[in-house]
Amino acid sequence: MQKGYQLFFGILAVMVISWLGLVVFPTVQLGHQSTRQVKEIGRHYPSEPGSIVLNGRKIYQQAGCVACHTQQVRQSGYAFDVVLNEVGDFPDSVKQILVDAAKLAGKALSGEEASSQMAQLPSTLLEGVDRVTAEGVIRLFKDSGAKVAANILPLGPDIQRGWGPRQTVGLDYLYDQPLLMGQQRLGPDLANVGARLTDRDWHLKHLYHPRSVVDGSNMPAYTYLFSVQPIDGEPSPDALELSEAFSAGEGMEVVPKPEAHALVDYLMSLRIENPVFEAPYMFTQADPSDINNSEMQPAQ
Amino acid sequence: MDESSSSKPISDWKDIDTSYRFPTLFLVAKATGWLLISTLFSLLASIKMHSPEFLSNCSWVTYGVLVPAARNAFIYGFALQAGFAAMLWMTMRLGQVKLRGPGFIFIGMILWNLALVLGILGLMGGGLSGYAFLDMPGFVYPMLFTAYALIGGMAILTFFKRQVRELYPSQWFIYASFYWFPWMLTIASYALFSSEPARGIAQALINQWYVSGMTTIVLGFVGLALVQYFIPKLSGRDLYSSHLSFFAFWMMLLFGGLTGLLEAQSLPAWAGVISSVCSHFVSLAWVIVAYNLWKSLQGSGRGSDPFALLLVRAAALSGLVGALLTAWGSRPAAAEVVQFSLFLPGLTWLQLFGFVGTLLLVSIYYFLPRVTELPWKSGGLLSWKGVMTCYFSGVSLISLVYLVGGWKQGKTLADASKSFAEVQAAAMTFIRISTVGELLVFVAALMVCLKVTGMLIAQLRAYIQCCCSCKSEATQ
Ligand code: HEC
Repeated sequence: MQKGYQLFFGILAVMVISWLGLVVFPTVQLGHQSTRQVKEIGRHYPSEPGSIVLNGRKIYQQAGCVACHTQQVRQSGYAFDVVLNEVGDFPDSVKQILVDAAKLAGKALSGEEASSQMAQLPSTLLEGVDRVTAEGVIRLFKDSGAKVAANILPLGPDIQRGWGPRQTVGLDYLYDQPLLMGQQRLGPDLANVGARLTDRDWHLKHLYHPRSVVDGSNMPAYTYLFSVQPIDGEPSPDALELSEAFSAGEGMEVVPKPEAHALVDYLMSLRIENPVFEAPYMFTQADPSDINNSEMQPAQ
Repeated sequence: MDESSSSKPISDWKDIDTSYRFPTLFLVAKATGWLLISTLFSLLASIKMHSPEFLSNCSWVTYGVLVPAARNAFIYGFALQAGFAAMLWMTMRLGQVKLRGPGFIFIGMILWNLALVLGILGLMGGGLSGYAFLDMPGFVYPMLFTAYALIGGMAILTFFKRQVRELYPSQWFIYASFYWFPWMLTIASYALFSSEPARGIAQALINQWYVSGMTTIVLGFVGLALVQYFIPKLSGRDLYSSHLSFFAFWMMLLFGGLTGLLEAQSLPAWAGVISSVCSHFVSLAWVIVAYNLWKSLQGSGRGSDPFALLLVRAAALSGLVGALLTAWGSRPAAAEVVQFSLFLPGLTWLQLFGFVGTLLLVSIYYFLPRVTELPWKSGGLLSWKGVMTCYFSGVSLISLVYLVGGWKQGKTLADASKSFAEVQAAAMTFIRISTVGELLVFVAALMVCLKVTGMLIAQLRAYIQCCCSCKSEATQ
């Protein structure tokens, strides 16, 4: 490479390729995503956040909570529970199918056990089996008149920790401006924290002084979101009820500023409450012939 | 290298170096100032990680604010400004040409620093944008761009006037770096901060494109340019093969755009795959560079400055290990563990502070006495040996602790039978040790700052004296 202009145009060409492939293409592909009707909840998802939540989100952004908290749930795969919901008109043949089904899943089931399974409905026939087994078992019940269903159970440590019922997908972030997904987990994931921690006072105390509610917490205190003021006659109704070790002292009270309330509003609004096409869970499918329909197929 | 074999008379070299004297001195002084600020923020953040009450009643210095403030001060304040100085040096020295328009460079530099001060203050005062490496508020980027246009414009003018037409590998790298930067800054800041910004998950991809471009191409190339400049310089041997450099150059440029994005389910599946492919190609290019450097060094003696050579080698090793670990971590099995852990900041430390930062400090150590014709004041703890030992051991300690601690933290996180308190505990010992490293780096930055300020004062004094004596000569 001897000449300046070769370098100049070469780099320009690479830059354009990089820009087209990694900026323009994804923006076009993902930028036109829009809300979607979700059957299970009977409305469009996601819905636009209200202004109170947006205010709180701004505080979250300004304080840099994203440095320690992610808002993305990972999932390693799926398992299925097969559930018998109705026996139908031919209990004898269903009983035989139950025994066969157990065999298919590699288990032994006696006639009596099958009867007892049929006695109390709904009853879980198989727990946590893989997709092929679940499909095979459901196919056995075809034409038997019985109603069986496969419940989809997302797997993975995040799910097991209770950080969400399913993985997060692109759609979940449609209204996130700026995106606050985070890359660091010095603290727990917060994608579903609103469903997990529903006590407003807990959140306020936690922000004022994390160690007042979680022993040995390493989350920094956000004292500046609260005013520590002398009690003026009547104590303020909003004041935090802190234990001895964390109280502001004799004659003083700790009152959340509006910012603290907004932030807690935002935290409590963080929920993953419905399945989406790419990430189904606990999905009930009564008709075995539908087992192959696309709604059971996770995206990856 | 061409400059050493040149037949230029000494007076011409003097001319070339003087034209460059004040712009560089100021650039370097500002750069080291920002390095000091960055390491101070980083140290405070590190303390906050294990002492929750520390500075808790001020919204300007929360952990989440200090970390991005430190990162941005390092990138835009230290690395890019010291990189500008290195770029100007190479343009002039390797092209044997006087610097054009030092006045414009000066104005550009002032504007750049003004934008940065406003940006960092804005970030701390509630304007944190939430995008990694672009954490400063949106109004800063047009200012940075304008400032850059002045500095870069003068570099281009100087470049066109060069007397040695052939380009040395270091020049490809450093020009590519500073040519890529304004493009990338414009595109990413427009896509994220304009009135119609990218929506939803697309933001994550654009942001990562910027982060990757900044790490691998812009700052990475500054480091690679310096390493390929110093290894021949300090060992007295020619670069083994410029064909290998050529190959690595284009490979990194092509694939440097999306490294380090770990597969995450929230993103489209292709993103993780492309990123893994990119990371692997970049690490391959790094192996080629390393082979080339190793071949160049083979059989060379201790060289003219063994300590500087040792540092350059250590820096190159950090860069190589960083690239290899990035590729390794992008494999699904490893990504599952290291994603969201301290492993990733560990890589950033290795690549930005270990590789690029060390080389930039070596370049300051090497260029400044030549430009100013004043020797470094040596002595005691303030010797460069002491400073650089302090810096590099601090950086290695932090990288190591984060990489190992991150792995352990990730392992605990992936085991759902362990409570979150246990995850926190798994990382905590390592975080405590990292504070020691942060302290070392901070002390090193402080000493570099003192040294550069000393040099600046000495130079100004010499300049004033010279002016006075000229005047008195004229009046006589
Ligand atoms: C230095 C890292 C750090 C920062 C910054 C941080 N947190 Fe935390 N956070 C933690 C840690 C560690 C925990 C776990 C211990 C605990 O519950 O206090 C936690 C826990 C939480 C929890 C409870 C989650 C659960 O499932 O138990 C909430 C809610 C929370 N943080 C909100 C916030 C908000 C809001 C901010 C920003 C104002 C923030 N955090 C900033 C580290 C951090």
